[in-house]
Amino acid sequence: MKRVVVPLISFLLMTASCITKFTPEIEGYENILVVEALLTDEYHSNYVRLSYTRPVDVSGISSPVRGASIFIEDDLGRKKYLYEKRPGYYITDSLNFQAVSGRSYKLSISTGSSDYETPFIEMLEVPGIDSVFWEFEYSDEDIIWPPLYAYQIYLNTYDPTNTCRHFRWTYEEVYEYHLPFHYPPDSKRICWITERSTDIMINNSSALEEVYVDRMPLIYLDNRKSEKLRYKYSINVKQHSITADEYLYWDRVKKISGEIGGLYDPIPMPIEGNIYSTTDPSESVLGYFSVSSVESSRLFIQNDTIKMDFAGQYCITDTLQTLDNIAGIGTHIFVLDEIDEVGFLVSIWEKCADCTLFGSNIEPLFWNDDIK
Amino acid sequence: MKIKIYITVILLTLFFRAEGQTEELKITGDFRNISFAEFAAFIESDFSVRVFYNPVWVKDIVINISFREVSLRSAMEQLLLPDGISFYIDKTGFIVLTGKYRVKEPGVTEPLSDTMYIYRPQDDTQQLTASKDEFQIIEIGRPTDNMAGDVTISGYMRNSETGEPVIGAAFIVDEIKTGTMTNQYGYYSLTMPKGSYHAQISCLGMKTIIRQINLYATGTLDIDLKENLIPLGSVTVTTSGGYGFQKSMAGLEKLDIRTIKLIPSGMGEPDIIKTTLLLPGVQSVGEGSAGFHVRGGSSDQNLVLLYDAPVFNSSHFFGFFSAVNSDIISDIALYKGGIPAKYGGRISSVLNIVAKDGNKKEFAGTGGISPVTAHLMIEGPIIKDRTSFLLAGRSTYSNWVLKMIDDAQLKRSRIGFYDSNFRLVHEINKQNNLELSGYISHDEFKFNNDTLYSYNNIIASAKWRHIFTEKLFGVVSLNHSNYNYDITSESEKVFSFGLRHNIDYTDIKAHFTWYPNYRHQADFGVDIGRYKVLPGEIYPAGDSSLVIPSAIQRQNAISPSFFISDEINLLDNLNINAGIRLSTFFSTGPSTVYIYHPGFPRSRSSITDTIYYGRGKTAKRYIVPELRLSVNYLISNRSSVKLSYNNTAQFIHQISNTASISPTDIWVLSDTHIKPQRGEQAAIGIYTSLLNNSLELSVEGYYKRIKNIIDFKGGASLLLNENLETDIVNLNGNARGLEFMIRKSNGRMNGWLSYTYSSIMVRSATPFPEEEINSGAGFPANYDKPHDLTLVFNYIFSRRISFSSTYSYSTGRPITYPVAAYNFGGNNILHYSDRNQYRIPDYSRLDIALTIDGNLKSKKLAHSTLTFSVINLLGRENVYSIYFKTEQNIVNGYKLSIFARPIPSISYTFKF
Repeated sequence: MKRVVVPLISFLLMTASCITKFTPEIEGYENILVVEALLTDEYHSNYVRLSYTRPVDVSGISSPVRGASIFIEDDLGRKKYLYEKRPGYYITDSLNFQAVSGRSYKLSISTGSSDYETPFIEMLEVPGIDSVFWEFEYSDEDIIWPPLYAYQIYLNTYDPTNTCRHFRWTYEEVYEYHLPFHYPPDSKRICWITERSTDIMINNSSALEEVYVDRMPLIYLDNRKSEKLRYKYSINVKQHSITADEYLYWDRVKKISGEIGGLYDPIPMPIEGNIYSTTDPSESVLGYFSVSSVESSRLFIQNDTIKMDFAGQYCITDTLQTLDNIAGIGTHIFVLDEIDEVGFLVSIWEKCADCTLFGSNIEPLFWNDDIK
Repeated sequence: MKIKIYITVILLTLFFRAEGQTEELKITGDFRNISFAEFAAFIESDFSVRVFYNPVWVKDIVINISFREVSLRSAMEQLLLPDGISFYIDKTGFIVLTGKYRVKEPGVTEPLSDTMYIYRPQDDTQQLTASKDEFQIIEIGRPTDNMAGDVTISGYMRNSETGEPVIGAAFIVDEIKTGTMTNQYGYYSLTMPKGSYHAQISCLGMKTIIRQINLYATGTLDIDLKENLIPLGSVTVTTSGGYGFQKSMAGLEKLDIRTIKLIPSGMGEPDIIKTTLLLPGVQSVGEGSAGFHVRGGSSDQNLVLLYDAPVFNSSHFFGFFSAVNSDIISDIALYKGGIPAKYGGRISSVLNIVAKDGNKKEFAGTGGISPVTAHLMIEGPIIKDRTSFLLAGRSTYSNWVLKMIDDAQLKRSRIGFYDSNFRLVHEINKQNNLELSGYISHDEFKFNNDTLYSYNNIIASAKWRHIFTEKLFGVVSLNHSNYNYDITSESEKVFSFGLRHNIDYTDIKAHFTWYPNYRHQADFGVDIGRYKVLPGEIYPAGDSSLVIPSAIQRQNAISPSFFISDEINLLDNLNINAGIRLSTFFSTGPSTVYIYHPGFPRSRSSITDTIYYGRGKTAKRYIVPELRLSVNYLISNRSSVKLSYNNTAQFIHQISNTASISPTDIWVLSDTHIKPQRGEQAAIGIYTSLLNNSLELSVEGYYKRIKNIIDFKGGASLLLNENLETDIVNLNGNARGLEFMIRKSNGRMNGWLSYTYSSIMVRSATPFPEEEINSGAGFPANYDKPHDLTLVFNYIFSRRISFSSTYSYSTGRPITYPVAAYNFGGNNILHYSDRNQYRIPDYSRLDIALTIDGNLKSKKLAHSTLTFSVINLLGRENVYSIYFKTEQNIVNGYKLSIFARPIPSISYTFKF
């Protein structure tokens, strides 16, 4: 709120405010264990990712923690060990392990030097998603081309039993992507690109008479900023039932992610989840062991009825005349083009010739589910 | 005595500009059996001189002498020196008898053999104009031979132009080395032996005058004081003065409205809070943040009083502007050290905003426009000399500006505030006065048709003051203050809601001052306050809203307090103000109180019992005796030491989960679980003046302990929290500081330089490790700024043009930084350090202002003033806030500066 007000006020004060980059000096950095663990009643989705934190001003992926011994225990005392599929990424064997709602689960980790565990967490039953739908917006008020076509995707859900009061949603988007040129190999021209949600989408219905989530905004798409709607787009939304404690965790994470530290933002604090060290109780452990049952719903949007216009793609070709034109050899590929039966050797960016850099050139199995 | 003569001498040097050398005048004549008075009358009639003297000194002189071409100086020497009376001859034609004091000439470095002397000031030191009254002797009562016994002189001091009371004016009686001060209503009373006296009456912003009084019986003397029209010498912060007569409160700072108006503070707007921040020991979290912090106290620990009612939200625009229009203010007093026993309810400080009464003599007003607001104030008599009114209003015109902008989002936005004041003062008769005052302020903003935030302050006050006898003065007042905010959001139909918070405070006060004799001044009284707080209420907005209306249970309380204090003039150089305030607080029903298991941190699951208290039933009672003690010891005529000790209690708390006050913060009352905040402060100050009193030096040190500061557990919800006590952690704090100040009050060049070293460390006070912040270790509070330097420099080029500048430097406030980053659920997440382990960069800002008065004629129809100011002249990008954003997998830190470059502004005001 303040973030809106400050610019507004400073606007009144003749826009004297300014925002500049600032790197604080932090001394005495230490690695902290981060546990990302998800247990659901779905097939295949149980994993534990172990990593260490990195300094704030260093980009990239956190370093994985390898060779840990990890098991999930249920309230009947049954233990399932996870195996390390990739460095730091541990999964359950889906063939002989399936979590069910109503049971409680606990996670135990041993890195060799320290042991960690969580309390038992009950897997709450989740209601089905009522609907995932979009609202369309068109505008040509400004003189910018193309006119704006935008889709806001919403979700409605409803729990007739009023038991599930806290929700978390994730989604996976898949969209068809065509490269602008027909250069060989043609097999790499059409791809399906998958993106996963990163926003924290949660809802607390405990203040409402009935569990009724109305028009929960999921994602906003428009033809000016994204290519996703050019051909065909699909979103698969997963609805997780979460505990009040987990809701609080995500709520805190949400509060301290994005912009924070301003005078009117909550004072940031170290957020620790539900994982504790049994070796050294004072040790900080980050992350959360999330236990939830899942329902999902898929929505398709095809650009054939409205025929949205898109701005031109940024791929360009260059007729190769001298070697001087070959800027950044590693990122260009060379193809032989034929115009009026005359052959030209042209260079194009690799990303304009090979869509598998972004996605898969194999059509997903569900891709035509909407027209069946 | 010294001061009186000093003043007289200055006065004389400027009064007439007689030409010629008085000392070269020659006297010839025979004088037989005449008194000195007759001799003086003679030389006054024969020469263009005037003789000033105290009749008491010369009453025994009988003159029998002949002069033949004797110089005036030598003649006077022959007449006066045998009686030990010194004198001073001015080149402009004044002969001033100085009694046993000799006059030291400027430039004479060798001290005279007589240890008692007075300095002759430089001609341009101070400009005072005498009125005829100075040479008249005022007789109170009929002359009588029986000069035994004590009598009382009392009365009101008023501004001669507006008829308004003059507050805090000193009435100093030279002969008995004591005096008194006018109270908030301009009333004074002093009991002393019968006799002839010289009383010096001085006040901040007023011309100092001297009255000769022959006091034979108890009587009244109302005194009219003239304003010092030229702002020379108006930048005086305390009423100390070199004489050393001071009330014993250490850490009392006063600012008069002209100081505030001179200092560049906002967008061309005089601003009381921003000016207060320039005083040592007063800090803010950042530019444009609401509230202020006094000596390590949090911002809810300041009692801001307007018309004797508390102001719950002292700012507009989240702190960019003060809530009270400076047009209606006569002066402000900040008690940061010794808080008098009559004030209670907050533990750090009292900021008393003294409002103007309204002109009792003629219609007048001011108005003006600045880049952000327009304001107008009118005042005048309804019945001349008896009844006056004052009406003032101020409003932004930003909504109008927003509509002009060609931006759809901004067009649908609203931002603005207004405030308005009303006051009626009626003198029923000499003994009875009635005052009615009202204040209302409103802020609102809305960004792009979404959520509308609005908040309001409403104050109403009725006051009756009565003089029972010359020695007993009483005030009974009924005061009401209300603060509320309302947030309505209509973005999604089924979620449309409104959210309200409301605090309603009413009190009745009966305060009395008894002046038994000149060594005592006793204050006593009772305050009975009633609080009603609605911590939060949500209600559906619109028919399709599914929001369940619900309200957190209201808090009710009655808080009667009793106080008595005595200002004792124990010795001529030792003044003690001792008092006690008994504050009581009764949290009453209807209320439901949860009882928690004492062995666990409070949480919903540790509730063991629920007790219901019916209407009027006391759920929890607090009785707190508060001691207030101040001692003022004069080491010499120019130096004094003051000590103070006080302890204070506070039953109402502002709860915030952000670093600075935000408009959605709520006020809650103490109850079964929320303990009163307690403060305890010991302070010592040393004050001295140099160079003919024009330079004042002070050092004050304090140590303060604060208990039960309320801190909010991170991540917990502030709004609509039914079990607020489960989300609260108590902090205890230790604050200490040293404040140095050098101030020059007079002359063309004036201002002050202050440096403060201070620290405020807090730590969580809980038996449960899981509730501790930073594992129970101490950490600096959000507003801890150890080094703080302020320079206020004013230069008056002429009566029309003055220049003013302020420079502030302070250590950056503490901040919690992210210390590590990690990937979690596809997000880059930051891991933060313990609370307040780092600091933002230091703060430094220079502001300047140039004020040009349109015309000097005081009888002009309208008097206009143009002020040009530049905020942040150096263009330094002071950090307002620092935040972090994840962009392309890298965490970037950003700093936001509000005034990132020099901001010029012009404002125009007129007076009529």
